[in-house]
Amino acid sequence: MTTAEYNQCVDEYSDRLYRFLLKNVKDKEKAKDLVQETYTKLWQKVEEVSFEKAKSYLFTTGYHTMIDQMRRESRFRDFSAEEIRNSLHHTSRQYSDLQEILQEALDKLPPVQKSAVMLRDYEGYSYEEIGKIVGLNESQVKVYIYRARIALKDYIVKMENVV
Amino acid sequence: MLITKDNYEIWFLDFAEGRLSDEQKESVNAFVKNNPELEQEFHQLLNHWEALSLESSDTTLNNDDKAGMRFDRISSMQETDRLLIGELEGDLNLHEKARLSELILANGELLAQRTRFQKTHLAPVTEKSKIFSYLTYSGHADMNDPSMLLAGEVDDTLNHNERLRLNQFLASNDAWREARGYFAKTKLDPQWHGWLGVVYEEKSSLHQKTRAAGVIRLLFPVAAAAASLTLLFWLFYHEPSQQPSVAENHSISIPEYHPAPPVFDQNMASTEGQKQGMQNPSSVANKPSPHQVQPSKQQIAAQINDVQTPPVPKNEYFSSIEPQRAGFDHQEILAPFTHLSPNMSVVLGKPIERSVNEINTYLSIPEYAAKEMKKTLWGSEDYPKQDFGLALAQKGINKVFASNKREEVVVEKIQTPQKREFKLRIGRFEYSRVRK
Repeated sequence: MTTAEYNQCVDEYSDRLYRFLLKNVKDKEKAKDLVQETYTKLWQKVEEVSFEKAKSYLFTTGYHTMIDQMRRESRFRDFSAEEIRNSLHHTSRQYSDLQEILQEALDKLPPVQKSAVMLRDYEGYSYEEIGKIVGLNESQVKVYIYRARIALKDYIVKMENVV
Repeated sequence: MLITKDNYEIWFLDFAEGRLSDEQKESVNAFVKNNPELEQEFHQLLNHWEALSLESSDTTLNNDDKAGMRFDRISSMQETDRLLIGELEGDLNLHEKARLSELILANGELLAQRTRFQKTHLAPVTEKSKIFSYLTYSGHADMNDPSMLLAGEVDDTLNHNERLRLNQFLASNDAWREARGYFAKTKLDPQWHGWLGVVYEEKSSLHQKTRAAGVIRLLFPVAAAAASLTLLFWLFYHEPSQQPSVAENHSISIPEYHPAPPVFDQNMASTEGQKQGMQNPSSVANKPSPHQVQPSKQQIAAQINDVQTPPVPKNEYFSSIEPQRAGFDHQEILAPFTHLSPNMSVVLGKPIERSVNEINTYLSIPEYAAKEMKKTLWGSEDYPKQDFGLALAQKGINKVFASNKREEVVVEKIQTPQKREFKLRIGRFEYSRVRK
């Protein structure tokens, strides 16, 4: 990849990567640092990574860097009924947008499910590609995405019942 | 069988009942250790089981009670109940799950019954376990489950048979048709304004300059240092001008460190760069100069005093090249290649030629950097040497200041009737040469 192509990767993918990471770590500064670190890693490998593979490389590296950080900080959280109850009880806002509800539901998914479903819907990756990014096989990705869909569906149902 | 969060209760019970081998017990203990949130549950179960066992030693069941607990009684209960309870307990195999799905398909009322059964669970049913109940613990999606089929439909990953099965479910059950609507809503919209509105605002910090520009940028401080050396030699081979140009109070704190003054002799200028770029006495003698009396090198050496900070720890300054690829990168390496050795004022090598094995080489003001600096200042490395002072003056250079993200470079010439001083500061590194 040339320097110009690298810079094109910055322009085209940094927003996407930032959103993806921000949604997971929920901290702007941390997400920015992760983006910076990910692009630094790409620049280090700029001669080895082709332009066509750059997006995949960025998301893979970004994801694993993030997971490493989360492991260090022990911030893995499970999707629990307790959380749902709390969020429902503390939800006084009116949602005008289904996507807003989905964002909230997304935040309650385990990291791997959240990442898988975001990569699927926002980035349009196949199960196989997602598997390469998050380090799972295709059928595991499928299971995680299905689980995530069911959880999101349940959340929407609950939210509609509450509202 | 692998112990997972979907089946651990069975293992715990078997453990409590003493049905496990030593190896299996170890597996359970390891699982509990890896899942500390289940530790309490595990120990509670063991304690309760123990209490129950003690109590049972004094208590007997009559034959009717025993008969009621026989498996054939359980299996003789209504099939739907047995399957729903089995589902709740996580005991269903694939065939039973498929059978349950069929029954639910045929009778929508079973959904409500399923919910009622779930409420009988004394432990709170977490959303997580509820989700997992749709799956086999082997980690494969159970495609006999309508929920899985609906999720697959959203993802557009159903095969022909799965699609047919889903259609059968949908055709026969209003509840699944309603659920289908909810599943369709779980698709995240990549064009949603709330998502696209989040942007990374610091793209410029990620951009890289072209390779050539990168070289110049990374070598900029080095180039400045190179210029300083050139300036230094110019200073010491020319008499001071009549007018002091820089105020005395431009002082820089210099630690008390006095290495031996360098010895100038003919052999020192060993490289072509020095022979060309650093004027030697013979070349100076051949040039017409306003200063006709040239002191010898030995005379100059006796007059000068070099002061510099102690050798700067490695990595103290300069982002540098990554030797493995001979390209420039953000990687920091160990070579302080502007290090001015107290005993050397000669070029020992060119950074571009360095390899991994040479990273600890002392490189004092590389010839390469000197050329770069000349190119930076004059656009060419072939500026006329005899006009160097004039060229500096034309550019107003008494003090060269440069900086990049990591370090600041200051090259300063202080000239008074009493002394001439040349100062170089690169980050924390300082070098000063004074000629009285």
